[in-house]
Amino acid sequence: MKDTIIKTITKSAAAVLLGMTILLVLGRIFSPKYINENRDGNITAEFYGEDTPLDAVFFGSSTVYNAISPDVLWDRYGFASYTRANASQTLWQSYYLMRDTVRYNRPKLITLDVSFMKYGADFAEEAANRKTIDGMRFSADKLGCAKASMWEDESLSSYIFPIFRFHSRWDELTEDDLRFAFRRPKVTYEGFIMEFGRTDEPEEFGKLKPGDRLFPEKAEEYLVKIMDYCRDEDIPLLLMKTPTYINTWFPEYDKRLEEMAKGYEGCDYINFDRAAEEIGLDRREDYVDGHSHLNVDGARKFSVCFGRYIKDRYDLPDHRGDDRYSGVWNDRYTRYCMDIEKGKAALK
Amino acid sequence: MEELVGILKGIHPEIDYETENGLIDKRIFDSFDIVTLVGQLTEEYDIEIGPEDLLPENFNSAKQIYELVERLMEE
Amino acid sequence: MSFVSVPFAVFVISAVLLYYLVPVRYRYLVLLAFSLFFYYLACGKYIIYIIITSAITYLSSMAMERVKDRSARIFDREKKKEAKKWLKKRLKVIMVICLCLNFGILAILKYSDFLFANINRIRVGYFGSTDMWGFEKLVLPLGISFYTFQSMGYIIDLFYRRYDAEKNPLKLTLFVTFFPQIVQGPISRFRDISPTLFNGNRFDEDNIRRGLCLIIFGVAKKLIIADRLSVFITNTAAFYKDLNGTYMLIMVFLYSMQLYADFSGGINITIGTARLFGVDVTENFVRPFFSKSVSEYWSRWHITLGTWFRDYIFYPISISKKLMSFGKKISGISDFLGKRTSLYTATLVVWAATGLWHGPEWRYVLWGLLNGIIMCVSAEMTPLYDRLNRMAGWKKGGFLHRAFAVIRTFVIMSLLRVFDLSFEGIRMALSIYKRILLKQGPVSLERISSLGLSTQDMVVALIGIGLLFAVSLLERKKSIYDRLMERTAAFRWVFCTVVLTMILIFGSYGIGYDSADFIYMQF
Repeated sequence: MKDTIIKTITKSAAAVLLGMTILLVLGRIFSPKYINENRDGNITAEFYGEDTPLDAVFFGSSTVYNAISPDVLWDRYGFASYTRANASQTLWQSYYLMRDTVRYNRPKLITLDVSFMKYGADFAEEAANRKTIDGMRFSADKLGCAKASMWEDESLSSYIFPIFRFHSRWDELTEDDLRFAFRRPKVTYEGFIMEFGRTDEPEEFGKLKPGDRLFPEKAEEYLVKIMDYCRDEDIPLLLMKTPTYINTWFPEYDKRLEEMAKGYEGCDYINFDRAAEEIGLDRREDYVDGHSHLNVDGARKFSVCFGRYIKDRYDLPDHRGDDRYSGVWNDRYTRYCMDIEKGKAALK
Repeated sequence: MEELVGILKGIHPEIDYETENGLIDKRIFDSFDIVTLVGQLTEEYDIEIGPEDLLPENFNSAKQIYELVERLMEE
Repeated sequence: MSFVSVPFAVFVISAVLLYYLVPVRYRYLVLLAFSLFFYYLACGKYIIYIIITSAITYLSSMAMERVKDRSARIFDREKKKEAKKWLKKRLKVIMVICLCLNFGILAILKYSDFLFANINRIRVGYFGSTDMWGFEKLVLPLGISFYTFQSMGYIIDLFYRRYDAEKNPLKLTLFVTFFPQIVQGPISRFRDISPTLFNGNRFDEDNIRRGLCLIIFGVAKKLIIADRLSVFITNTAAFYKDLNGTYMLIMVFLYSMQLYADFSGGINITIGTARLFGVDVTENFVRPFFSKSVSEYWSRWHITLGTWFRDYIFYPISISKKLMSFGKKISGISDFLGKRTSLYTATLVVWAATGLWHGPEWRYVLWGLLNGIIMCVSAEMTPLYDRLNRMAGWKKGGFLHRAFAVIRTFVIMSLLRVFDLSFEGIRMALSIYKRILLKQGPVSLERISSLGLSTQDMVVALIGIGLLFAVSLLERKKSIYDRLMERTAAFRWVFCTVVLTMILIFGSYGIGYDSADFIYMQF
């Protein structure tokens, strides 16, 4: 009797283990690899490969990963930083990614772009959710992030086992899906994504109603959570707005954010829109996507200015003389520069 | 018994009723056949077969049908 | 909670664990608790309907028992005969009351809309009324047709005194509410299911293996074949006016496949789930597409519904004294008609009812009647077929003869299903038939793809159907499970891994696929 029970339990355990393995391996193979296009899908996961202790991490949406280059910051100021921003990254996603980040590599400064304060509970983009969350390692934060982000048709189980979501790619699998199933090459620049285009006309973005000048409830709720979290962790938090030329940001927003930041020690707010001229940004040269994002040229200009601002204000260290840093980071900067040249040459 | 087999042969001539004991289970007799059979049995033996008697265990073989008829004739 | 979902898997696993952890004599209570919980999750407060039906059934059965006890205490021979008559009469009264109450609930919830719509049509048409009669929109509780029929079968069996009533009200409620079969049947018989349902079953690895095997098989049928086809079928039916007859034919045959894969797959999951607890649920499908006639088809498709109608409606009507004597009177006029009166009347009544059971619409009634008529006609035509066979030189029961009969039955049954698809009503069905007969035309893969079945998906579905056919051929001799058990353990593990992987990859589930609910859930 006892023998049969043990046998049954062993068999069940083996079956569960086998099932999990199949699920996970298939998930690896079927998940999109984001290597040749949509490289921003790798930002979340690549962070775990970062092994130098970080001084600053930048959160926010795509405007951030196109605007702040940690490699430029290293070259200019010598502190180590990382961009952990994703396309359409909402406030709640930033919150959970922040917790995840601090667990792996605790920075001395956190900055958060506030462009997405405009979007509340009714905002959901499945593709963006997947890009942001799928790269997270399994943890309570990952589940929390998925739960907070999912829209009606999505299921939590598909964030644990991505095969549930991506099995429909069976007729579009390529060799790359097998090659990069378990190991992907690095495709971002410490979270930075290069844009080489130049913009045409400014575009209106977002479903913003005129007159609707309050932040949605869910966005404010998570901003408060973020501020609470940073205060509890004793990490300074800079709320900032990356410069863009699109005309959907109202003075009322600035006021509200200043007001909120005031209540927290170590928390500040700055809108770089107003400093565009000072930074030297050129409407015709430095923007892409209808003025919503910066291209590589704009990004260099902004990074230089932004870096000086945070370095002075938060007294960030200079590691350029430190071998543990300089070996890795100099190589990264070289790669960055070479790829910009390559990208520009390809454009011509 | 012979008379009964005669009636059964009238419905499905190809069956060997001496040995067959799965008339219902093997779907040899469908519901139409059963109703036809019941009609003929009622007439031949002047018995009353009710829906409660229409169970597979009463109709699977010629022997079972014979037993059913005998039982009902007694009543 | 869909049968093919993570929450249902979690639900079943917890139920199984708890079932085998509690002492044997309390195990049925675990099933009852989970069944009620399942129903509550699905229907919320409407759980009251199933509880009312259980209560009515229980009280009626106890009333019947009391009447039986009283008549059993009479020993006097003379009085006994009288008592028997009295008993039958009393039992009948109780049964009729119980049937009226339970079918009444079903009738009001499911059929009152249909009834009022028809009355209103007459009132508007002939009397010029402008007000409309009817109830507010009524909610149809999950599985009401199934559990009502199942409990009424029990009461009728008690009336026939086939077995004694269940005295434990909790056990009876479990019989009515048992969760694996509440969604889509089968309609179990008390005598078949009660032994394994009520007696706690000891843990047996074979039950678990067999159950899982059935569940996997059912999920594969549903996800790989049925759900993949469902979008195309819905769209093709919706746009039938813009499509030629060839598309209609493709739709009709694919629908046959989809319906079978969906419904029998669901039943596999039901039987498999019940088996995890060691409960025996009757099989509902035995390779229906291998049937050689329409009546054989109905003894292999949705078997428990067919036998229910046969035992509780067809037999009582067809062998009733009144109809038989009426038939004799007709024999005086025409022997041919007289012999067939009771048989054919009962057939048509049963099939009209079966039609209505499928849905409260005239198209279903017509569909049912057509099934009945085809059976009657084919019974009359048998001699003619035999002659034709002899002329063609086919041996009766030979391969050619059987193949012809199987294909003929499949085509007839598939074509009849047009009524199922004609959501606009009988006129739509006629229009589809017209297209099939008169408007054949070219078909393009792009068009099929735009209707919801890409070429890749079609290939997967066809391979799936081919495999299903192969499995059906194999199962004529021995079930797949038994064949697997003859192999080595290593082979079984590899086999299961492969099947699971196929389901994971090729199943139509998740975002990008419209999840089709089990088609039979609405009945």
